[in-house]
Amino acid sequence: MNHPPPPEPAIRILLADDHSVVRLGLAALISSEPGFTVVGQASDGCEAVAQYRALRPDVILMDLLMPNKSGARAAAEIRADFPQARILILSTSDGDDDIYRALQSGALGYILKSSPGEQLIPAIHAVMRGEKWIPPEVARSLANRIMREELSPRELQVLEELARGGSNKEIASVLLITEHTVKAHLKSILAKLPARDRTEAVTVALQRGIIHL
Amino acid sequence: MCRFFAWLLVLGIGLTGLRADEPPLTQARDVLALSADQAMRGRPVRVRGVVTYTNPSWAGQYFVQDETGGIFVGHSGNTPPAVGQLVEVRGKSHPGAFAPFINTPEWTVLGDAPLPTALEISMERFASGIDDGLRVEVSGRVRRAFSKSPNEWLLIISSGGHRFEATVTPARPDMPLPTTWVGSLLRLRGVLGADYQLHRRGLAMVRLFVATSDEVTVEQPEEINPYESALSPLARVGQYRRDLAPGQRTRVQGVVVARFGKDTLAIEDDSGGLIIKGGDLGSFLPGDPVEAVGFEGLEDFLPVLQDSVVVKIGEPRGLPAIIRPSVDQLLLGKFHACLVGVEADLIEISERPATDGTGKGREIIMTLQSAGKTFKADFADDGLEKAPLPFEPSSRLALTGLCLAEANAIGRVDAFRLRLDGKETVRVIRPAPWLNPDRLRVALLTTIACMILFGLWALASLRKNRRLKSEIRERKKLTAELEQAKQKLSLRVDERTEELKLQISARKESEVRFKAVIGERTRLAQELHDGLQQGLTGVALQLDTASRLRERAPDQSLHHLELARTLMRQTHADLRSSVWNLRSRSQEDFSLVEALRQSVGRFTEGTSITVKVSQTGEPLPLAELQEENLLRIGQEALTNAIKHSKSEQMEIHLDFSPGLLVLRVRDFGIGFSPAHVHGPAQGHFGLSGMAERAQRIGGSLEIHSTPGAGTLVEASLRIHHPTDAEPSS
Repeated sequence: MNHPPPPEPAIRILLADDHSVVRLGLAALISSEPGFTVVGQASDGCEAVAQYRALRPDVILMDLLMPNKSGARAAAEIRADFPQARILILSTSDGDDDIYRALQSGALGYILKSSPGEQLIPAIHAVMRGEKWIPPEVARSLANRIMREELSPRELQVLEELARGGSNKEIASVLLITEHTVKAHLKSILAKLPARDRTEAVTVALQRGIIHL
Repeated sequence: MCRFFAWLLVLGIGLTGLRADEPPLTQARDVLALSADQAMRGRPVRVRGVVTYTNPSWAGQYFVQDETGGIFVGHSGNTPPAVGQLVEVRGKSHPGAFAPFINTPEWTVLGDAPLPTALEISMERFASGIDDGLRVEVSGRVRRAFSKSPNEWLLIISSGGHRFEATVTPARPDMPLPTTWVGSLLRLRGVLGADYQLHRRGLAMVRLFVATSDEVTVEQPEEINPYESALSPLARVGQYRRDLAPGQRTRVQGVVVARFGKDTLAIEDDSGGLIIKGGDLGSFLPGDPVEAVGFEGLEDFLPVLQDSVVVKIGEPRGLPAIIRPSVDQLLLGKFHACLVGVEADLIEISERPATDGTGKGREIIMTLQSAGKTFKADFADDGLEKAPLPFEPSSRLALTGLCLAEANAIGRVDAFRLRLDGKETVRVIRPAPWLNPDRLRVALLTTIACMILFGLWALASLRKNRRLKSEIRERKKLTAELEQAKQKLSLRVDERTEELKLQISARKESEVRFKAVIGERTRLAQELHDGLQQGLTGVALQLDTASRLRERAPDQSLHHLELARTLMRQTHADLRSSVWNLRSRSQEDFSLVEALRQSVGRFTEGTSITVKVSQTGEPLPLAELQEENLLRIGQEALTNAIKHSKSEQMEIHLDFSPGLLVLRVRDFGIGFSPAHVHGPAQGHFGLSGMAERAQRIGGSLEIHSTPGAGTLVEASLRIHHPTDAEPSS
């Protein structure tokens, strides 16, 4: 880590992202801000939790989609042990489900990776003050969710299998239900998302963060 | 006589209503001349005449005769006047049962008078009854004579073919009936009285009431005492004989072979048989030897000994030997009244109630046939009625019985019948064949019934067959139609199967396409997420940093700009690889080793570098993300080797061992020391990228390199069944 040590007690930040280029960029940007210091970097959810425990940063910047443990779960675990933890989610996803789950897990803010530069520093300041940071586009996406119908756990399973390219028959054998039931679930899924066909259903579900690859 | 008086008793009382002013009929003739209706009116009668006959048993009735005729005087209840007294009788006319008479009489005896002269009349006139009540004189031969009581004899007299009875009052009460009278021709004077048929006011028989035996005289005694005459063979009776005077009786002897009722016997001697008739023959039994004296006569053209006197002349000797003449001989009448044995076939049996007046038993009549001639036999069966007879039609019988010849209308014998003593005299010689007419009839009827039934059955069968045939025809037609339908159906099934196959293959194709599309999209999305998005994020962050540091630390700013550019380049390269991989993938026959080989071809084209691509073990299908990331690791490693190793010999090896896939990319170049390798911070993203990819698919990456000894990049991945492979981001 090629950063100069902070001259004064600075805001200690932990980075958690599986992409090194992103971590690199974040670290660069944060380090460029006086009073901010990156105290650690984690490349997956498990590491993030472990480093948080070890470093007790003021803020943790966490990606949502990470190997081994998702950002949302890591956030939830951290919040379970440290209810005062300030977690700021940084994600490429603008899907309502992702946002919802992130905020549900106890994150205070949500920043889209497409616009990190102008939001990151204000967002960190905001969460440091104990405020929420929900940018307008995130709020809009979240608002859409209210109007959408929730998928049942079974429908979610079907949708996940569908995303793997499974045919009705394959889905039926995996979930131990009849093909007929699969069709019924599928019909319901198409109505709820909404989507015209299975391909669109998968696309929409991925987009909204209902399922992940 | 009893009925005579009983009748008068009945009628006498009701006839009243005399007309007082009507003058009485004073002559017998006038009374006799009244019609029945006139006499019924009870005309007053006052007749004066001489009493001609009365009888102590007549309860006061008598005959009286005047100059004009004789008339009967009915019941009065008083003692009648005596014969020979002149009386005046007053009474009323009565139609009488035959001739009118004087009823409710009262009389006055006027004195005695001589009896009127008896009118000598012919037997023909006598028999007509026209002289009822008149004294007449007739003659006739006495056939039989009885003494009914000490003061009344009864004579049965035959005369001129007529037969009548004469009641004679003996002249003296103790006078015996003269034994010589029977057979003698007598002349008698007496009153003619009619025996009547009550209900038709008709004549039954004429009688002669003779007031005293003195008025009987023997005109011609029997010529020979028959009891002393020579015995006549039975066969001679009725034959031409000059020695037998008319009216002379015949004496015969024989054995009784049969008896009919109480007045007829059949007797037989060596010459033949004879029918004997007489007064009281009821005590004789077959087998009794008898002597008979009687008058030869003919009844139904056949000889009969009439008015016979029969006496037993010894102990019963049994029946004479049975003669067995032929039927033809029997038909000639020679064996009339003989006991004969005949064999004949029984044709028919009939029966009727017995005629003997007892009302019990039955008369069995059999029709028999022998030698082509038919005759009848009969017997009285006093056994239980309806008891089955021990023989039946069509059986051949031996019969023993009395032959009774029968003459036709002109007196010629042309038939006979057998009178049997009972069924015991019939013996069955040959039982009836089982097939007698009755049974034949039954058999015939049965046969006909069977034939009718068979006919009906045949008809029904015919109809049934016809129906079955038509059903079979129908069924065949149906079967053919079914077959046709089946063929059509099978054709349709084939067509439909083809269609379905097409549909299924279409569906499969669409499934495959869906899979491919989804696979491609997810792969692309992942690539964009991991490569382009993160790369762009990284670039953006570097640019932001550069921008922020531009015033404060221009050198650092420049460094970040440089990083951004490198990152940009890297991202661009990534993107290009993604696009290339996109193109290199065909849908189903994707093979990792082949994709690596193609990459090698692309990267080394126009260079002298040779890359040996090989594979060991049994390739397993991998999830697309795994394939893609392994491919990208291989490509990255190859790119690094080409760029940095300065080697022209490289190897790519894919090793599938159970549960583990190892991708090795080796070069034989200059190598490097991992400790000195530049990291992302220095703008080298390759190695960390590979490691991240390996991590993302659950695998690991190791880099073995020492300066001068080449480099080995080794990506390991635990593999299981395709469905177990969990992709991760």
